[in-house]
Parts: sequence; C-alpha cells; structure tokens
Amino acid sequence: MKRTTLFIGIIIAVIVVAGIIGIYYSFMKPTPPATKKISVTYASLSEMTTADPSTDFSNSILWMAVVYEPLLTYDPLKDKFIPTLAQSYESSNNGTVWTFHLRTNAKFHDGAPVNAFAVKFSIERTMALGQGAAFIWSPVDRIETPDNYTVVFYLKYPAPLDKIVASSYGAWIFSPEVIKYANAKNSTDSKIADWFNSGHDAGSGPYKLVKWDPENEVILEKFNEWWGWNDPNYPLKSDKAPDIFIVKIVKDSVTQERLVESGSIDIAQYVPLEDLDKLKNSPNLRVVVKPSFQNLLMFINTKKAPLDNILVRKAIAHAIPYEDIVKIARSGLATVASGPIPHGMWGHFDNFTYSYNLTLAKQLLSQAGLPNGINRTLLLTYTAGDIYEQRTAELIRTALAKIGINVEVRPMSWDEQWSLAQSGWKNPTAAQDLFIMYWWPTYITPYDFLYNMYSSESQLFNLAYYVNPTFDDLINKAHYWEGINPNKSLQLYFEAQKIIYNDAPVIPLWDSVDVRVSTTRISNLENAINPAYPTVIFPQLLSVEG
Amino acid sequence: MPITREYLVKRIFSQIVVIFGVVIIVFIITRVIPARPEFLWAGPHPTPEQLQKAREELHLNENILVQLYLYLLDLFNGNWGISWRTKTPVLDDIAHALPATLELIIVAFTIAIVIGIPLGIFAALKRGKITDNIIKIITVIGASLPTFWLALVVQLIFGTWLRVLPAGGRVNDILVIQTGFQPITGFYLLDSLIQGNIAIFLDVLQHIILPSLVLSIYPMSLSARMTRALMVEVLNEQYIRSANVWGISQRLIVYKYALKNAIAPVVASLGLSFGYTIVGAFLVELIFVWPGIGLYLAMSLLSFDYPAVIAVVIIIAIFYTTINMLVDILHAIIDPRVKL
Repeated sequence: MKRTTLFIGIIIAVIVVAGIIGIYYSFMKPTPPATKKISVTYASLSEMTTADPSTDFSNSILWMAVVYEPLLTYDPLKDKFIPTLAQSYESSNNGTVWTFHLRTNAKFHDGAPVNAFAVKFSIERTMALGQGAAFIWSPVDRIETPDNYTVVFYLKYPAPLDKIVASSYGAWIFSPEVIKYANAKNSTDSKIADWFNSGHDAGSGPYKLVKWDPENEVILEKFNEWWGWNDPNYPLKSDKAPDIFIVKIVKDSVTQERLVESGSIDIAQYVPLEDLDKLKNSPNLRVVVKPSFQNLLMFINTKKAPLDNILVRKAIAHAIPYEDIVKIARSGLATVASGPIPHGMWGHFDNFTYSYNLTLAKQLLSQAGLPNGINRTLLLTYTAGDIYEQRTAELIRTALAKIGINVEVRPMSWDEQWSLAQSGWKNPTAAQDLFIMYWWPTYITPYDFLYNMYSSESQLFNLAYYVNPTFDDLINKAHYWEGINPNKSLQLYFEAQKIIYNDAPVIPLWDSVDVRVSTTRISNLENAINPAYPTVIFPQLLSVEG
Repeated sequence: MPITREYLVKRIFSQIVVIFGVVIIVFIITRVIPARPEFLWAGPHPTPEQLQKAREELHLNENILVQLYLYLLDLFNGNWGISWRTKTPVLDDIAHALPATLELIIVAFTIAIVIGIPLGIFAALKRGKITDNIIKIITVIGASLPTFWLALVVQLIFGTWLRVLPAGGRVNDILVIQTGFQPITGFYLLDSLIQGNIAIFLDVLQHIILPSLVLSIYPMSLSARMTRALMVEVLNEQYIRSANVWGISQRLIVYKYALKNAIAPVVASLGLSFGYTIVGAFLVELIFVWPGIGLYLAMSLLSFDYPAVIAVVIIIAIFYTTINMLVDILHAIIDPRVKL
C-alpha cells in the first residue's frame, strides 16, 4: 500500500509540475527567435517513395522537382521550354545530335559547380541503373563534354530530346561527389542509393532536403545560393517564397480538408470534390483548378465477340453520356475527353469526342445484327476504392442498359484487375469485356499515350488487345519526326488518332483537372503548378503572407 | 507470489513457438494471395525487363518453401527486409512508428485508468442512485461510440471551429527546426523533457490531447463498467460486512480490502486491450495524422508490402504475448489465489 501511495504521489507530482509549467509558459510566450522563418505545409495523399533521383518513378517527384533541376523545364500549356540548368540548346543532323549550353552560375547544395561532367555523370548513372524511368534515355547512344559547360548527346535515332531532358522522372541532375559521400566504388554502387535514402540530397534546386521521413514528412529549406534567386530575368520565382517547405503525408482527403480549414496545413492536395463549392465560399480558403494530363479511359476487349465488331464498339461509344459522367462522377471537375491525348497537350485535337446519341447507337447495333442488344452480360472491371472510377462505371452500366447491353460492374484490386487483363493476350475470352484505368505520361509526348495503350508491341498496357500495323507504323513515324519536324509529326499523330477514333478499341472518358485548396496566406499558387510535373507545387513561386 | 523461474522459462519458450508459428503462417498467406509485388518494386509503368528483374530480386520465381527459408535466414541475421513500398529497411520504419503509437496509447491508458477506475468505484458505492445511472449511461455510450466518428467530431469542434488545439500532427515542425529538437527515444514527451525543451514539450502535449482523449474513451468506459460490477460483487461479500461491523474506516475497506480483490480482472482486460489498441488505433492515427504503427500496417496491407506486413505482425505478436505474460504475472501479484 505504501509503495502504491508513493507511486500515485509521483504521478500526481509530475502532472502538477507539468501543469504549472504549462500555465507559466502559456502566459509567458517564449521570445520569438530573431529571424522568423516563413513556412508552408503541403499535404500529400501518398507517402514518398525513394530519395534516389535516378530511379524514382513515383511519388517522390513531388519534392525532387524542388530539390533537383533538369536541363530544361517544359511548360506544356504554352508548349514552351524554360531554360533551367541549360541556358540554350540546339539540335542538328536530323535530330540525332543535341547540344546543350549550361549556365555557368549554378551550384549544387554542397557548393560544387553544376558542369558538363555532372550532367553526363547523372544521366549515365540513371541509364546504367536502368530502373524507374530510365527508358526515356533509350535513344541516347553516347554523351560527350567538349568543354566544362557544353554537353552533346548523340542519339541512335531521332527523338525529341528537349522533351526528354524536361521529363518529370529520371532527368534530374545531381553532384558526382555522391560517390565520395557514399564511399562507393562506382556510380552504380548500391551504396549511393543508400546514401540518398538515408536522407541526403545532391541537387542544385532552390530548396534542399533537411528532413527525410518518407512515411510522414519531408522538410525542405531554402537554398540561398540558388542561381535563380539572384537572376532578375528568371521568371519562375517569387520574392515572398517560403523559407521552409514541408511536405506532410495526410492519407485521407477528408482529413486534408479539415486540416486546411483549421490552418494546420496550408495547401491540400486532395479534398472531396463534393465539398468544393462550400470551400470556394469560405473566406479563409482559396481553390485553384488547373488542367492535368491524367485521363480516364475504357478499354474494350477487341478479341472477344461481339466486341470484335467495330459497329458494336462504336454503338457503345455513342451510348455513353459523357457530359453526365463528368457532372455526376467528378462534380463537374473534368473535361469530356477528345481522343486519348488530354486537353492542353501538344498533339491533342478537339474533334475526337463521340456524340451521345442513343438512336445512332441502336442503329449501329442493328447493323451489326444485334437489334435487341447483346445476349450475355459484359464484365466491366475498375480499381476498387477509387470513387471516381466507381461512379463512372455505374453510370456506364446504366447507360448501356438503355441499348440492351447488360453490364456487371466489378471492383477489383489493381493487381487482380491488371492480372486478369494481362491474361487476355493469351486467352481473350476469359478476360474482362470492359476495363477502366487512368493514364498519365512520363514525359510529355503523345507517343507515351498512343504507344503504351494502343501499340501491338505494348502488351503491358494495351488492354484492348488492339493490333493495327498501320497505326503502329504511323505513331513510330510521328515520334521519329517529333524532334525534327513538329508539324509533320503532328499531322501523323492526327492520322493515327483518326484511325483509333474509327476503330474505337478504347473509349477516352474524361481528362482530369487538378484541384488544390490553400489558405488565403498563400498566393500565386496557380503559377506554382505545372501539369507536366504532376503533384508538384513549386514553392519558389509561392507568395506567402506573414 | 509463486512465480518460479521454471514458469518464466516455460512461458518464454512457448512465446517463441507462437511467434515462429505466426511468422510462418503470415509468410505463407502473403505469398499465396494473388498479388503482384514485382509491380510495387518496379514502380508504375514498368517494362517487361524491369518486371523480370524485380521478380528475380524478390526471389518470386523460387518455390515458396525456398522463399520462406531465405526469409527466415535473413530474419535470424537481423535483416527484417526492405519495404517494397518505401524501399527503406522495415526495422527502421518500425523503430520510427512504434514509439509514436506507444506514446499515444500510454497517455490514453493513463487517462483511462486515472478516470475510469475511480468512476467505477464511485458508481459502485452509489449503486442504484442517480449518479450511478448517469455514470452508467455515460460509460455505455463511451464504450459503444465508434472511435473514428468521435475523432472526427472532436477534431471538427476543437481543431476547426474553436481552433484551440491542433487538428492533427504530432509536433509543430517549425518549432522543431527553430529549437533544434532531436528525438532520442522516439517518445517526444520524454525526449523534450530530457533536453529541457519546454516549448516542444508543451507543443507535443497540445498535439496529443485530442487523439489520446478519443483513444481513452473506450478503455475508460470499459474499466469503469468492470470496476463497478466487480466492486458491487465484492462489497457484498461477508468479509466486507465483517469489516464494517469491526468499525474499520470506509476508506480502508474500499481501497484496501475491496478494490484489491476486484481490480485483478480489470487489469487483465485493460492489459489485453492495450495490446489490441496498438493496431486498432489506426483510424485515430489516420484522422489525426499520427505517424504510428497502425497506420503503417494499414498502408502496407493496402499496397501488398509483405516485408513490412510480416515485420509488423512479428512485432505485434511479441508485444501481445509479452503483455499477456505480464498481465498473468501481475494478476498473480495482485491476487495470491492465482497460481502460475
């Protein structure tokens, strides 16, 4: 009993002392530090992946784009390149030789200059590791450095290298000193990846990594010697940029909404779209809507009767109420797709939307010899847990019932959904009939969409099992000309899209828009978002009050 | 207190067997469900070569028993695997997440015990009266309210409307940077006191109030309900009546003779719910953005991150069995009738 009394006494004493200290301090506010640091907290829905700039092909781009720099930054909405580490560039020899002239005043966070050797080192390491987005460099034959600030790429075949060096994945430049820091044998030694993943950066961007806790938060601090802060001609910066930029992992959109409303975070990546009108009317919040290059598409199993008939596929395409889907499934926050290339991107054309026309749809079915619809139930699969896909799938089910096509909607985990779809190349009758998924590009080219989802060579994601050699030939030619003669290339991309519009193996449904919600102390957010770098917010462009 | 060394050895041995069994079962389950971990490893939009390479690196082409053998071999060498999702050593992730959860639960259970047990005693003493009924209503509501709902409500009220407490997070990062706070044990309340960093201590305290309060409601109600029921039973025993007749003070009777006999099952059930809350807290962790183990496990499960899942399961198994043993020992200490 005595011991218990003593124990309880200690607990009470601790609580009392803590309480007194608490009261004392809440009255005596701690003296503010001499320089008040301005911070901005951005909530990310997904955790970060790796800290290795050569191999990340996932969520880490969200902060890497701020800590590392590419040679060029691409503004896809204006189809313009902004010189970043490279001040100028030219291509010659039919697009197989590309010369980049580097700026001379760029420095890595460790103080070393960003020179041609560093560029060569970074890209060669990425290529040698061959992970993540390394494939973007497959046209590159060799890289040469005639002097300290000139890099020359020799390609095996023509390719739009300006777009490749501006890629959001796999194109970051880092300091060759990493070999020394990591105590590694060579550039591909796994010790370098370990060094990165223990919370180090070797970039040259406007912010440097100070805390790396990929499950919870990543903290970045302003790099005062960044060349851009002092360059009066460089447009992509703000005088009121935050000193500290915190990426906080908040894995739930409702929680993000609560946190931004209470001011615990400054920018929310995702909020429930239904609440957007309420948030727009809040005096404490700002809502920014920007186009994104993510779209949702429905793949039709072109190898399974009766969907192997173009008329039936077109009937389905004309029976889908695209406007309603955008209105209901996305609360209006999307654009009805016109072809697989999203709005705002080079290579997008406006006249590839199927009209919603039930009479035409029924007529097409009759022509196909199915006046009463299809006599079996089609299977539509989507990724379980994605509310927008779910709503879209349900609306398609209801719409197709009107022309006599019954659909079973089945939510599956992405792995199961994809495995089933993969089996369709070998055994199409056992696979699903309709398949819904999102696509977004690795680097901004129409080829990324057209090759991956439509080419007969791309069995991983061509889940309509569509085979058309004429189409394959057209897009390969278009890609070839992209870096040399963009107009000719565009014409070929147009022809290719006309073919898939007529064959209808895939029905593009809607192009996403990005919605970000911030507190009112943040301004210029709309310019800090670039659809070519999905999920990134460039803090150097933000203007922060107080 | 008949706790023999023989008993302890036997108990620890059986604990090891249980954990070993858990590892094998969980390993086999995670390998037979139809998932494609090579996709997680290779990243989005992989090429067939990358997928093949990933399968080799993860030994996915091997027989399941070979995979199990390779895994156990690594486990005994202290290598718990690399998370397929975050590519960091699983043990590092856990070392990070576990103290956060433990801190939260310890605070929650302290609140639950400090309030719950006295509430139960009080209700037992006033049984049948209006205060007893009020306590009964409150504790029944407390035990049956869904935790996640309560979490959202208190977050909305205190975080968003009144703005008196932070709506989420564990500590203010700016303060951490400005004061140079460095975690030592991972228990921030303790670490900040060790470093004499009162500003951080108060900040962590502010952050922990809402989630720990929400988490404490269930064990608080549970312990109040159980204490009341057991106390009522004990207070009706003959020896209590004799004590009353002897004129022993009411305080001594209640706290020494009655409570000591009534408390053992309460301790046992609280102990077990402590073990359960380690993972059960994940909804609260999700809502309050608390970087704990429950959230880590939930996210690992959702993305088929087996090394992380298995490692967390092992940790939970160790934790659960150890708590079970401690509860049994404690039970024997409190109640000498229990023989181990």
